[in-house]
Amino acid sequence: MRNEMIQSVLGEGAAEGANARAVATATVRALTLLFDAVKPLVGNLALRALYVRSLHLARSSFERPTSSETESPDELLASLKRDLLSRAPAAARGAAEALLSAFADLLVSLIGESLTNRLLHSAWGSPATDEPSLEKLQ
Amino acid sequence: MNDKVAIRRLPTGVPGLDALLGGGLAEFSFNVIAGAPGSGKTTLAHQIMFALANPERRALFFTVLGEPPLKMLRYQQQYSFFDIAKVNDSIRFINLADDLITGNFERVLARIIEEVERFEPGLVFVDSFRSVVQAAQDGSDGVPAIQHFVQRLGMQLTSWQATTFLIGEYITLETEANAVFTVADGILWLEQSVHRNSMVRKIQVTKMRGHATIAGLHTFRISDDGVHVFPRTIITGSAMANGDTAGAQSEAQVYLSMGVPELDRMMGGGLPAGYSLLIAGPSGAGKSLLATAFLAEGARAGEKGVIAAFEKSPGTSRNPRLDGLIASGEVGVVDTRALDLSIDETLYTLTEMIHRTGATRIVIDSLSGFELALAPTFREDFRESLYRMVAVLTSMGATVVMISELEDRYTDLRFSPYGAAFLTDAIIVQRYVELRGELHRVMAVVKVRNSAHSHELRLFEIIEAGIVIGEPRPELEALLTGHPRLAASAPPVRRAKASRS
Repeated sequence: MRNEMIQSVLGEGAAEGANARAVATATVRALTLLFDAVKPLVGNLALRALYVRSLHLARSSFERPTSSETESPDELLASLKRDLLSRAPAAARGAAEALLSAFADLLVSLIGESLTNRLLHSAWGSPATDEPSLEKLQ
Repeated sequence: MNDKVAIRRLPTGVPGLDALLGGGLAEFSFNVIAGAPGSGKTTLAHQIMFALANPERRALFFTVLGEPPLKMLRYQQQYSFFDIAKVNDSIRFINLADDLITGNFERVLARIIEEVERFEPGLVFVDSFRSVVQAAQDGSDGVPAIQHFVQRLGMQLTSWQATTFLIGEYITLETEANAVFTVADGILWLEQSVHRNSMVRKIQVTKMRGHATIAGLHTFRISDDGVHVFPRTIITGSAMANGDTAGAQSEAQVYLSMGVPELDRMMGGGLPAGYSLLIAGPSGAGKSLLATAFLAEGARAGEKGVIAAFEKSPGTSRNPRLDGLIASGEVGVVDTRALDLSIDETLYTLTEMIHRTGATRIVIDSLSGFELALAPTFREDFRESLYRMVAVLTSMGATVVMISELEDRYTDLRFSPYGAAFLTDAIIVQRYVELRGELHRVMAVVKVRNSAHSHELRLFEIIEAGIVIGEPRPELEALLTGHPRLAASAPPVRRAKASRS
């Protein structure tokens, strides 16, 4: 189900054949929504740690981040966007899926599937609708 | 016309806590849950929150510094009360660490108010509130500023009709704590102590404005279901009066059969209902068998029983007759955990089972096993606690049989190492004696208050069918020395012959 949600939130804008810019924009939008849901719950520092850990778990698609600890989530996302823009569309799409899956799996391992799914739903809406919900867990 | 404000009590959902609070927490009250790290503060707060939160009474749980929210959610989910379905709709978690790091407690207060205005919760929790206080001290704002902060927070949240809980780590009452506690409407103080290899948790309602609570320290346990409080049972006036059951004896006194008819006769008709009986004797003398006969006779008469078996682990075979009574549901068993019980927990379990099953016959097997099962800290007050327990149980109308294991001593006549004899209304003593190279058992009724009972020492035997009491043997002398002798003209010694069984 999480995979469906990830596919749904990346949407047609990042579908096969789309250009890298569309993929990067959709990915950053998905992560922004997810950060908005998670940040009130855990705070900025923990959110950043979760994101960096996700990058590490998806390391086959990403190089180790070189950002400093003081870098804000917004700066991290800008860095991600630059990374995705530098890739071919298919590679960018694959990397985006790997990163979102890693982030979701990391949450599952820490707070369980049920709470994670609630977070994802509150951030992205249900898989049936492409409209992300503005309602947050916070 | 009475137009005084009626303060609604909110049931906490924590077993035993409402009894301590005199019915529950006052709605819109401003409470502090305080205690040392690991004492169960967050668990208690979560349990109350999940019990009370619903779409009409929503809850905000603010985490500040201290336990990382991810860990808190990870571990608190393990408790059965953690209802994930309530998260988001009825319960929201908000982390304030960033506000505290980037600002000060003014920023924290502003953020709390902002979220409260947005979500309109009926319940607000701040964990750990102490983090805010300590951050304030680091900023040299001092105690008055903290008190000011708490006052403003309390005023704001009460105005927003939120029942509030500040959770704080306090090991002792400090000056700063006094400043905070002065403002609070209610204070729940949690503590834990380790003595030898047992840990005992205690809770105290230090303060609760507006209604009476049960004072003093009360034990609690944390299990997979969360916190369970065992309020210290207070003996009421009526219970004390009933505790002296013999004094309340009336012409309509009901006598319960012990399941050994000849013993009933020796006791003057049986054991008066509502009495406490001590069966004292050495190992193997037949004390547990007699208690089983008492329970079996109750079952035969349609009276349920309960046994608190401290001598055996739950599930291990006691004796086939007792096993049968337990299997049929006629006798309930109180599970015992060695080394960390409190009297109140045991009493709670017993009274809960009595209420649930309607049991009227209670057996405690044995006092020495019971004492061993208690956490060491409670053993010091064992005698007082035993008195309290007997008074409570008998005041409920139960008839209590307690077993006391004693070494045979032939130089004195004792019934219990706990001085329990004076607590009980009746005493039966069993002993071994030697007659012409053979061990024999004897039994006597030492006391049955306000009842004409036999004073005979009677030989008895244990056979498959139960206890068999022999005929009176007045020709045997000096039984209590362990070396009886026959009068010169006495007939040969014979084993007890079944007069009744």
